[in-house]
Amino acid sequence: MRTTRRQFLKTAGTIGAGALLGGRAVRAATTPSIVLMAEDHFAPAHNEELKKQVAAWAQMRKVEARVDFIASRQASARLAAIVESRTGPDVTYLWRFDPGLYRAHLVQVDDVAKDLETKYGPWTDVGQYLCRLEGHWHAIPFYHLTYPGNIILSHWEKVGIKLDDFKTMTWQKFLEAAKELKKAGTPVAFAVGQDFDSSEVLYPLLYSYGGRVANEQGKIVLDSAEARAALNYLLQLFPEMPREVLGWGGADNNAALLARKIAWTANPATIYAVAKMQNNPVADSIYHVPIPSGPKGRFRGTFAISLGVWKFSPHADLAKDLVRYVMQEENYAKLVAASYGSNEPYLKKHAENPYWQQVPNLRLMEPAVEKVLPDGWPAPPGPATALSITQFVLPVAFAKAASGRLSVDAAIKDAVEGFQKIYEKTPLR
Amino acid sequence: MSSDSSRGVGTRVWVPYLVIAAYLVVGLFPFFVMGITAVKPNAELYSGTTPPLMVRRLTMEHYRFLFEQTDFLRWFWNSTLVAALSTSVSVVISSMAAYALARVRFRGSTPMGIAIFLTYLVPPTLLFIPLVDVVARLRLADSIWSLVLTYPTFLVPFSTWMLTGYFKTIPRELEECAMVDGASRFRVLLQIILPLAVPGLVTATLFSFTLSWGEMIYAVSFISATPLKTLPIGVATSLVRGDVYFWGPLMAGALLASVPIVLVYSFLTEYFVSGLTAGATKG
Amino acid sequence: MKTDTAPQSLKARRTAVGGKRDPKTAWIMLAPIVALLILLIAYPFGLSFYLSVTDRQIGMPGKFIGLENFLDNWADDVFRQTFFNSVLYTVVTVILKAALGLPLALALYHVRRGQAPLRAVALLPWVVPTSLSAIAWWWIFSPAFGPLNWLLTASGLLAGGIPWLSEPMWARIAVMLINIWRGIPFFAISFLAGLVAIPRDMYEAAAIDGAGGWRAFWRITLPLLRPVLLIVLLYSTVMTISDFEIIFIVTRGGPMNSTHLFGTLAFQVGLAGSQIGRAAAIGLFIFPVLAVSAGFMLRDILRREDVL
Repeated sequence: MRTTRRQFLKTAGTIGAGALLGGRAVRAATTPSIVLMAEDHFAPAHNEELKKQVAAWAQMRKVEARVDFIASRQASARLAAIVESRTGPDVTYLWRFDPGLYRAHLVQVDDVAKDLETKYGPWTDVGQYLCRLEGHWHAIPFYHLTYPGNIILSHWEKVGIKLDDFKTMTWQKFLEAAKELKKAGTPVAFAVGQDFDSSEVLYPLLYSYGGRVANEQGKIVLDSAEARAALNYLLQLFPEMPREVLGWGGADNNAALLARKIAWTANPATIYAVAKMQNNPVADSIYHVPIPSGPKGRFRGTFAISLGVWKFSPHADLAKDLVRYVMQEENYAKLVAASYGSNEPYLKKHAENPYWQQVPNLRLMEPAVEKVLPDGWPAPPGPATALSITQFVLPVAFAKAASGRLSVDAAIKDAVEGFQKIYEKTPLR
Repeated sequence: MSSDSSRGVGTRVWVPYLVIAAYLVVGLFPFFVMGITAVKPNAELYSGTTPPLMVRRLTMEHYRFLFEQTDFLRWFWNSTLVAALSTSVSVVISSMAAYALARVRFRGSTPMGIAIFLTYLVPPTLLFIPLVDVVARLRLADSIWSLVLTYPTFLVPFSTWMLTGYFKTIPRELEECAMVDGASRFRVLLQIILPLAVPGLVTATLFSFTLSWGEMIYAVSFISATPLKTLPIGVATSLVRGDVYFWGPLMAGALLASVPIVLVYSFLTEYFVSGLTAGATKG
Repeated sequence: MKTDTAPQSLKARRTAVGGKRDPKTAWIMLAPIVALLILLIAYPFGLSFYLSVTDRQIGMPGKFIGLENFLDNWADDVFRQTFFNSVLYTVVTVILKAALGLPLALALYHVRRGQAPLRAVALLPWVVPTSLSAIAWWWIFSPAFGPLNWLLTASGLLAGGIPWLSEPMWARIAVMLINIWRGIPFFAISFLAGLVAIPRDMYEAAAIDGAGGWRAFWRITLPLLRPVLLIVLLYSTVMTISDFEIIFIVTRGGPMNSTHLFGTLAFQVGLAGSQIGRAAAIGLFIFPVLAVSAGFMLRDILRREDVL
């Protein structure tokens, strides 16, 4: 329970009980207090490091500050409550398209973005796409978890593929290897269906064949030869994977890889990180490799986290300063280390951190040779795109084709209809 | 034996036990799995070579993790507090309402009873989105008071209905005597009815406590600061971070989260059954 | 001694009671519940209706759009699928819970020794927080690592495991199994309460008339269990159609939207997708079920008169 002072609310016409018992602290004009809401990181060390940094900043600025951690599953509900009530932490994590969803409630942070850009080099495409909206920065990209291939190297070596071969791996070569791997009893596998693990592979696959769901204007352009080519590829790859991937959720590929039952999956470096954290010997066998390239490009999916300062915060400037602080090179590097390398940066200088190069398992992960972009790109990063992602329109349609329920044309049509319904009824920005 | 045929089913003593055993095998299987997973070392859990139901080496590392690396004890306390408070609030509210409906003559008694009964039917899934709004506007988000306030909404209707039935079984003469002697309705309720209605109250309390303890959707929607969470939510969300499931501590937590309720129930089952009896079978 | 167990008309009973009408006390006693119900049920319920006819998004003002959300929902494949899922899920599980709860109740009724601990243990699945037992079940159903498939294949019953969570049919069976597992104790204990309330002399009288065993069961037990059955059926129907945790934890609505229920879809659209107007419209589809069930119940209850 909060140990802050409570204030009796006099709210006419509302619940008496609630009015007596509820309350948000309203401090007399003394020390400003900043609250940062962060995601509960799987690595406790990361939580500790973040708390330390916030405390150090608070001491430096002679204010009070603390970090509240929430579970990723609750993020949407919590943000909804924050936005609806216009109260809550001063600065919070934002996930995926949240900056676009809540743009009206976020303080513009162009100054912070420009400062950081000057110091640390240009922002990556991902960061700009998600946080720079209509020419203004509404959030500062913090870190993201990309989805490279996670492999058990020894399985690949048995079929004659070495680590560095992944630098030039194409989807075709991947398919051939997948067949061999299946015969060897250690197939490739990734979720195909109602999970983000699935969209983070299928969208890059689509992009690498030149397909897009919607263009920059929000027009649905999925009905194309390129998209069909991508889906046809999936139909060739699918039989080489265990059929249960149709029901996989976020953790199933983790478990399968840890048990060495599969040879490849797409996932953030969390599998490796947790294995290391728990002293699981499998960790040494897990390597991270670029996603194969397609005829029209090479892409990797990502789960993006940014920091947003809310307009209702009475200390927006201080909050912005806190954001600047954690983005300082040394601080950022400490967070990367605490996360076992799974936190990936959006700024050039941060990416030059030798951490990844020094860990053999992560050497090929950062910097990425593919174009790293979130699902939904290049459509306007707003409510329509966000909803189409949370509804898993693309992965579900592809799953229907892969499982044989729909033909390729029918699946594309199904997806197009699903997307069109969403884009017609939901605001674009 | 006449007592056997009078019960209408089964003449062999062991049949009921067999039936119950069959149900228990299925009923308790998940708990068995939880128990095994909670004491199985990570190496065996994730290796894929140890069969799921076997443990080679027992370990307490997960329980240790639960108590040392998570806010487990705080969550336990939060749940207890929330369940106790919302149960108390709802038992008080429903006792009064039940008594009014069962005993006091007034116009609107039947419509009122029907209205309460109907709200019994409105599920939290229908209400949680607008309630997110209400709770947020009352500045109760991220506070256990949001739960103490909202939990009675699904606790009170059932308790009221049940207690109404129960109160009706109490002979009127006792009240009539007291009222003739000048006691007010409130005193009658407090000093005569409630003491006699203990089984019914126990049932209402147990039912309410159980529902509060296990409630998820409101707790997930209104509270997100980790130390403030209720137990089921704390365990389910803090031990699942992104795609990382801490299976060992998760199952250990699941087991421990069930213990209090089970203990309470095992002591009070008789009350529970008899309380339901009177409440459910009027007629 | 006058008791209230003999059926009497509502009005007759009222006038038979000593004591005058006392609306003041009644309404004072009812004030808290009325406040609670109006402010925290009726108001959000009304708000739900209001939201459903707007295009409201989290944090943004919305405008009135009439029945568009409902029409859009109805035209949406995913929604129609959800509607089908919800009806299937509810009908199957409620029937099975009732059908399986009764034998357990009878068994619990007939045991001689160890009644209390057995009843307590039998209640476990219902008493444990669903959010936690669902996680255990998810592990159990896991195709590669779960004990269930391991048991099925290791014991030689099946060649390969069952695709519990990756095929729509099996995924539905899986979540229904969990729901039934959880719900049986509630039905059983309620039936048990009903059984306990049936006076022994009824059975003895029937035995004397030569009707024992099954006939007594059909003619005495079942009819007298009817009120309990109806109440529990109604409660269970409402709670089941609005189920959330099991789906949320085990399948998230998949595979391919085959296990989405109104609650989980509303959560996805409203909180994850921030379209609360549409989400409210989804949730309100539960309302007709409520209304119909309530209608049935009320008809029966009012006939019986003194349950309320």
